[in-house]
Order: sequence, then structure tokens, then C-alpha cells
Amino acid sequence: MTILHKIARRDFKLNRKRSIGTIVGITLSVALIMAVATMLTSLRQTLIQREIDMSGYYHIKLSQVTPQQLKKIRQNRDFKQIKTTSDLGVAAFDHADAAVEQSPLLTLQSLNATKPTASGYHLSSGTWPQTDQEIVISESAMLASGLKIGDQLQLKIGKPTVKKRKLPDSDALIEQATVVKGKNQNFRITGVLNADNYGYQGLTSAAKAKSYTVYLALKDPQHFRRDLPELLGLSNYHQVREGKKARYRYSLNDGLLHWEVLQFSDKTMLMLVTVATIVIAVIMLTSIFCIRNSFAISITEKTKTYGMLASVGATKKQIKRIVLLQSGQLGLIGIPLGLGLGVLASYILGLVVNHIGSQFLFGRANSFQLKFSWIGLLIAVVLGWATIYFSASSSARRASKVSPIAQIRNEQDVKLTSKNLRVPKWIQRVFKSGGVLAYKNLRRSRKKYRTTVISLAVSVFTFIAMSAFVTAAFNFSYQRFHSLDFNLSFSPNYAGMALKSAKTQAQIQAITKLPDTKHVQVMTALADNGNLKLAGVENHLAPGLTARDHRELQLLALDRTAFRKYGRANGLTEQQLASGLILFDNDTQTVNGKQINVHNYRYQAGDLISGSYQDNSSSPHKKYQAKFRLSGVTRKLPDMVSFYWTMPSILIADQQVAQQQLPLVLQSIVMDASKPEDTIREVRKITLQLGSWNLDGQIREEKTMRLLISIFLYGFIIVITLIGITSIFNTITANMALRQREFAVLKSVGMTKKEFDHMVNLETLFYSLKSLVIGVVSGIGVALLIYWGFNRGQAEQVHYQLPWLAIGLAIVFVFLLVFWIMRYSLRKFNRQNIIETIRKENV
Amino acid sequence: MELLRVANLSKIYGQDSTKVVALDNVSFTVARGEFVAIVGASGSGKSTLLHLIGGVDRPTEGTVFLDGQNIYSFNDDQLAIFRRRQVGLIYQFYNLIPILNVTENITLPLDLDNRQADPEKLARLLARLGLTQRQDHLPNELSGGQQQRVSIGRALITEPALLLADEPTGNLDSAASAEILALLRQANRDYQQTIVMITHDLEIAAQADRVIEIEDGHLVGDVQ
Ligand SMILES: Nc1ncnc2c1ncn2[C@@H]1O[C@H](COP(=O)(O)OP(=O)(O)OP(=O)(O)O)[C@@H](O)[C@H]1O
Ligand SMILES: [Mg+2]
Repeated sequence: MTILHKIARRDFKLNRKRSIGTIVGITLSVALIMAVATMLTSLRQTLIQREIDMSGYYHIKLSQVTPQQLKKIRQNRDFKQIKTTSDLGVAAFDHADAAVEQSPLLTLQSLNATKPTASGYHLSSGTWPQTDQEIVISESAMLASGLKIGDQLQLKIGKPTVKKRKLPDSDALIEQATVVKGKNQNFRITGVLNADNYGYQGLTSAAKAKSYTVYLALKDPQHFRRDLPELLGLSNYHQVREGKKARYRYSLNDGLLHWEVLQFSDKTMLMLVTVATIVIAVIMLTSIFCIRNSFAISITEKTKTYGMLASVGATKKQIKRIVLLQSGQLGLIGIPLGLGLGVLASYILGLVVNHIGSQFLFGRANSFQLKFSWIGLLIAVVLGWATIYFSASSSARRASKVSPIAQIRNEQDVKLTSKNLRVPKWIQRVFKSGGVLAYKNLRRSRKKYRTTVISLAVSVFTFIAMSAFVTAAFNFSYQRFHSLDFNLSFSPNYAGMALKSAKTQAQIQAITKLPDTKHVQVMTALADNGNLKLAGVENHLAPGLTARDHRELQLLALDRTAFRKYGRANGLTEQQLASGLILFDNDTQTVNGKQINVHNYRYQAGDLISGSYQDNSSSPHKKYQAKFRLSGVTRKLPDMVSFYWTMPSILIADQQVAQQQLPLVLQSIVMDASKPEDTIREVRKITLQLGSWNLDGQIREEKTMRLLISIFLYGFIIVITLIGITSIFNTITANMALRQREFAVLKSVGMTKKEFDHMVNLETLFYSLKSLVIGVVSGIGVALLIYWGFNRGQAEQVHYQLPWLAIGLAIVFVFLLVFWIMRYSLRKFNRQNIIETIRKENV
Repeated sequence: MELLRVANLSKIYGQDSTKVVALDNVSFTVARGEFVAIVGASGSGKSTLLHLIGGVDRPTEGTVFLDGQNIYSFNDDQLAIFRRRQVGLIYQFYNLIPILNVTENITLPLDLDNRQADPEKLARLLARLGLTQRQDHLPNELSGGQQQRVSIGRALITEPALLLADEPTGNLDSAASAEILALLRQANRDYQQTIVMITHDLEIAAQADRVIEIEDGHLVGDVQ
């Protein structure tokens, strides 16, 4: 061991406290990077797993693949996993709800010794079919047939045919398709398939097949843009997206690709990348700064030692070597500790997440999966080392710039100016002689205090910026999450539930009367999504708008109760509402870079609105005329409308009024159900034509998601704050330690404790004010940047909020913290013997 | 034979209103084996002169030749090596490395040079300094006189061409002072060690071969 090692080693041991402070700083910084990386990797892994669970492990699904084609696919080396199910054709079966206009055909597939879940199939009850005599069918088919598990089901298997014309199997969903010629076969139902897709599905286990559905998982999903076009015989990925005619019929598993390859829509990506860049930049900067600071301080403290070494002939290189060795030791302890701490924190967070309810978030049997991030490790280690190395060597370089004698006198950081100073009166009055001393100190050796002020300012800055990030993140997720007055929505799978049909009326009636439901609202629309063509619109348009673009308006109708409620909520009277038509009219325009709300129409309450409508779904196309008196104009849509539509202008009619003049079809029924699952089942019994949308799960999911985000974000803030505190603590205590001798001398010439207190008070005031001004201003700046990041490429803008709470907290916190740390150092000093202190400095 | 030549040495601290001319155009030479005392009032520039001779500071003007070499033509590293091998510096405040023990402090210049101290020579030196019993102690466990003896040991271990001492006895009582002085005189007599020593004490100065007097940064007296 050379003398350099010896000095480094000894120094580390003898200055244990300072070493520990520095190590804590390194540890926290590295831990933060590691934890963020681990959490992100884990979240991604979990979401990948969720996608695999829900839709199966494949990136592309090919339909109707012939055995020859399959052989060729199997020779392709790009695939990690190739799973197939065989297509057995389509089948007709006895339908309980014969009046439903949906094709009663069932698509029959066979499992080829493939684990059914690999293709995204799930059972909601029962067992998988083991033989070609057994079958599982989708929930809807179960309800339609009225059968139970264990019952026999007779299928007529063949080709879908419409009006004697045979169609490809994939067209089984076409209305009025039937199987004319087919083979009858009997199956025993062993389970119910939880299939989310439209249409009836059946799954059996037969050996023979004419064609296959192939589920392909890529070996290297990162290269899907290259591999998929190649597979499909297309020239580029763009064509794949466009659905160009390819070698195979195919569909992509976008959910999995999203997370595996991290490819999102451009806008989402832009937002994610921007926000992540800003946040990561802030983390890195804080970490780097914290580490750098710790070193700068510990090196300042050792300047005298370096000076002595230099005066007996240590070269710059040797001194730099010592500094690096010392830093190395700190890094050697701090970095692994930080890595461990980061992973541990992620692990605990993972446990918390799983405890709170990952099932809402990550799918049924799925829990939050901790995944170690090698990239995170690499970044944390490299960044940690690099920061340590550069801050150490820059400090060493700075130390070696001055002559040994100056170092011994500790001159370079105490560039005193003996300028004449006039101490303000108020300082003398408020802070007494201690304050005067402190004031002179602060004015005459500014450089010495710069580190402290900077480290405080950086902490304040980070805290405010990150709080703003958290608020923005919340606002962002709040905006996604509307508080709706319904949790269940039904809408027809196929067009054509005409309101005037007695059957539709009866079904709506039945649904309205279902138990355990509240606020059932019915929305209808013009058949075929048609619009009302307004007469004489030219005279009622905002300036600059052309009649051509604004003549047609979508018309939606609400049941009377819902209509009145909506009208009243928007300030219209019962009298006005009696005429039965409200114009929602709220467009946005950008004027001088600012978005403002405008009306497109000049209609007012009481105006007569007349128009025509042509029903293109009827043959021959029927034409209708309608005339309403306008109840009023609103700027807000009813929830149930905005849930489906966002248009600048829409006509909302009272169903009973509109019905008399126009043909209406059912658009949706929404309700607040206390047992949503039961209600869905009941509705299925009434009609199979309505698809359900259960928002309850979504609402719960969002709530849990928010809880999780807050845990994550606040955890993040806590760590950032801890790093800041460590950094502040290190700086201030070191600064005080450097002044020990000065204090001892002051004490020895009779400065009282009270005067020391005054001195500390003034310094606290100075540090806090100065750093708060810098920190708050720059914090607000970065907060603006973060909002900008969130709003990039987003239609709905997050509104900027000044982070008042964070600013307030920072102010209080900084004052208390600085005050406390100064007092703490002073107390420690007070316990020491004066002469000991002076002597120690003089060896 | 000339060992040291101080040539037109000036040192100015600060600027403008706070400007202090600590040394003003000082020149003299010291022969090998000489024991020179530098005296002068407080603030006259004695320490400044000594630091410049020892190469721990840089002059504003002029230079220092040791063994015919201009030490301020050296770069920082050469200067460090010069300090390590050619001079031994003894301060009024001992400037020991607090984390190194007595032996380690003494052998520090050799260690920095990757040289081993000859154990016998080291033992003899420790004995001469009266530190044999204390060789494993840290500086803060020693008395002022003991600490000063360690710093003398550190200055002597490399057998430097020139020993510089800045009021080595300034902090010590008369008994301890006499001891230190005896040590220096012995080195000068037995090993022909060239010594330049600052002192306030005219009695001590009287024991030197030659006394140089400084006043306000000027050389005002040089008595054999
Ligand atoms: N780092 C410095 N900055 C500014 N002025 C300095 C500095 N060091 C010394 N001086 C000034 O230079 C002059 C000479 O100082 P020096 O330390 O050489 O005096 P000295 O003769 O050793 O005094 P003493 O006997 O009290 O030790 C003094 O006036 C002092 O104020
Ligand atoms: Mg002096």
C-alpha cells in the first residue's frame, strides 16, 4: 500500500461523519435512478404480461392459413412461437332469440394441442374441450341457445350463405347469413368462453382442419417493422398498417406491441417522451449536483491537508490521485448501496401495489411484476461513477491551482475583501453584535457561502419542479376520467333498432324497469347516423362561416326526463323546454394564440328551426320534414352524449317531440346500476342485440390507478426531498465545521451564546432568502416546461397551475431546515473545548 | 561555495487599496553549510521570503536559484519534486498531516517519492529527535515541542540541500526552544546542513553564522 492509499484510507476513517454524509448523498441519488428505472421496467413488464394474459402471446394473427402456407411459416426463423387453431368453418344452431337480426352463425375453431390461453381465449366457467365431441362456446352463444354446461348442442357446420351466394368464413357475421348445406354434428358443452369479440364462437378439439388461424410471436419484436412486411409480402410497415392486400389475412396484437416495442400513437409518444425527458433530466441533474456538492465540500475541508502535502513535495498528480482514491472508496460503498436501496424500494412499492389491488389494473390473475432493469443499473452506475470522478477531479484541480501556502492558509475559498463595510442599522438593532459579525462574514467571503446557497436553491428548485410535475400528472389523469352519472352503457351491435318498432319499445321498457338500476336514460338518433339539413341556415351563421359546412347537424334525442334534466341544468325553463329542441353549440377558435369558445350559429331561444332528413337505410329512401321551436342554446353536452360524441354543434331533442316528425333508432341506454354484472346478464336475457359497456370496472381501475400514481409520485418527491436535505445538511455542516476555528477564537474573546445565536439567525435568513428566490423562480420555470410537455400533441390541455403549495412548503421548510442544521452544528461546536478546537486546527 | 541565490525577489499581495508590498527587491546569497538567521519586526516580510525560497509560493518578481537552478523556471510538478528533495520546511505552526502518525509524517517526503526510509537511519533520526517512544502517535497527541520535532524530522529525512525554518521555536518555552535549536545546530555542525531560520529572538540569532535583517520588505542588515 502506497502512502497515497494510506492517506486516502486513513482520512476516510477519521472523517467518518463527513464520509457518511457523502455516501448518503451518493446512495440516495443512485437509488433514485435505480428505483425509477426498476419501476418503469417493471410496469412495462407487467403491462406486457397483462396483454399476454388478455389477448394471448402473439404479435400477429393470420387467418385462413392453408396447411402448405403453415409449413412455410414454420420454416421462418423470425418466430419465437407459432401457435395455431384450426378453422372448422361456421355453423348454424338453434337460436332462442330468433328475431334478432344478427346472423346466428357460430365460428368454430379447434385447439391444436395449443394452450388456449396462448391465443387469448379464456373460460368464464367450465373446462376446456378434450375431444372432438366436446365444445366450449362464447357467453353470447350460450345465452342465445339457452343451454347450460353439460347440455348437448347440435351444429350444422358449413359455409355461410346469403341469398344462395356462398361467402368466405370470415363473413359469418354478415346479417342474414345462414348455412344452407352443412353437416350436422353434436357436441357436449363443457364450458363458457369469455370472448370479448363480437359474434358467436365455439372451440372444440378436433384433429382435422382445412385451414388454420396462426398466432405468431416474433423472436425480436423490436424489428417488427422489418419482419412483418416480409412475412406478409408487403414492401413496408406502412402498408401493413394500411391493411393493404397481403399474402395472408392478418391482424396485429397492438396491445402487446405497444408495450414490448414501446410504440404508441405519435401524439402519445411525443407527450411521454417530452415529459420523461424533462423529469429524468431533473432527476439526473439533482443527483449529479448532490454528489458533486458532497465532494466539493469534503475537498474544501481537506484543502489544508493537500496544501501540507504539496509543501513537502507532493505533485499535483499525487494529490489528484489521493482525491480520486478517496472518491473511489465513497463510490465503492455508496453506489452498491444505492443500487440495493433502489431495488428494495421498488420491491416494497411492488408489494404495496399488489396489496392495493393489481387485479383492477393488470388483469385477472396478474400482479405487478418486479423486473430488474439492467439499463437502469448501467445508467445509475455510470452516472454515479462519472459524477464522482468528474466532481472529484474538478475539485482536485481547483485545489491544486493555488500555491501550497495559500492552501495551508485555506485562502482560495475565503477570498476576503477588506473593503469598508457599512453594516445596516437594522441588522445592528435586530441581530446585535452577532449579526454584525455574520453580516461582515457574508459580505466579505461570498464565495464561501455560495455552495450553501446553491445547494439550497437546487433543492428548492427540484422540489417545486417535481411538485408541479405531480400536479400536472394528476390533472392529466383527472381529465381522462370524467365523473359520469352512469356506470353502465348499452348500445346496439348493429343498426336498426327502430324506435317505432313495437319490439324495440318493449325491450326498452323492460330494460328501464330492471331492478337495482337508477337514472336510466335512453338516447336515440336519426337512423343511419343521419343529419338534419337545416333550412335557411345562411341567416343564422357566425360571420365567416359558410352554409355548405354548417347546413347539416347531427340530431340526437333523449327521453323526456333526461332531456328536461339536461335543459334545466343549463338554465332553461320548463316553458322553453316544452318545445323540445336544444342546440349545443360550442366551438373553439384560436385567436392570437389563445383558444376561445365561440358559437357557430346565431340561433336563439324561440327561433324556429326547420329541416329535412333523408333516410338512406330505407328503400326507397324516404324523406322527412321537421320543424321545431328552439328551447335554447347550450355550451355543454349531456354526459351520455359526450361519452360517444364530440362535435362542436349538435341538436339535442326531446324524444317524444322528435319522434312525431322523424324516424329514430336506439343509440344507447345508460344507467347507474348497483350490480352491473347482474344487470348486464338481465339485459342479455331481454335482447342480445345490445352490447354492454361496463364502466364500473373502469372507474375502479382509474381510482386504483390514481392511488398508485400518487404513491409512486409522492415516493419520488420524498426521495428527491431527502436528497435535497442530505445535500443541504452536508453543505451547511461542512461550512460550519470549516469555521470552527473562527468560532473558537470568537468564543475565546468572549462572544456569548446569545450572540452566536444572533449570528446564526442572520445567516439563516440570508441563506434562505437568497436560495428561495433563485429556487422558486427557476422551479416555476421548469414547472411551465413540464406543463408544456404534457400538453404537447394533446387535444385536451392541462391548465397551468402555479405550484403554490409546493412554494409555501419550500419556504417554510427551508427556513426551518437551515435554522435547525445551523443550530445543530453550533451545538456540536459548543460542546467542544475552545483550545482543543484551535489546537486541532494548528497541528 | 554558493548554494542559494535570492535574486531581486519581490512579492506584492492584493491590489489597489489593499495592496501590500511584502518583499521589495531583496537579493542575497547563502553559502553551503551556512547557518543564517533572518530577523525583523513582525510583518516585515520574513515568512514571505522563506516561503519563496522554499517554493511554496510564487514571487511577483525576481527569482531564487538553488544549486545554480532557477526554481521558478520549474513547472508545478518539477517544483513539487524540488520541494520534496531539496528543501526541508519547518513552520511556526507545525503543519503536520493530522491523519498520519509520527513516523509516517516524517517519512512522508520519501513516501511521496516512492522511496523507502532506511530503517536504521530513521531509528537514529527518531532517537535524535527524542521521539522513539512516540513514533506511533498522531500529531494531536503530542505537545507543541514534540510536534515541532516531528516537523524537523520531516525536513531532515530527505537530507535536503537547504533547511528552512520559520520561527521553529516561536511557540515553545525556553527549554523546548533550546532543544530544537540544539537539534538544528547539530545538523549544521555534524552534517554541514545549510540552514535559513527566521527568529524573533536575538539570543537565538546570535548563535547563527550570519544574521540578515529585514525591514518593510527590504534587506537592511547582513552581519557575519
Ligand atoms: N496572503 C496575504 N495576503 C495579503 N497580505 C499578506 C499575505 N501574507 C502576508 N501578507 C502581508 O505581507 C507582509 C509580510 O508578511 P509576513 O508574513 O512575511 O511577515 P513576517 O515578517 O513573517 O511577520 P511575523 O514575524 O509576524 O510572522 C505583512 O504586512 C502581511 O500583512
Ligand atoms: Mg512570519
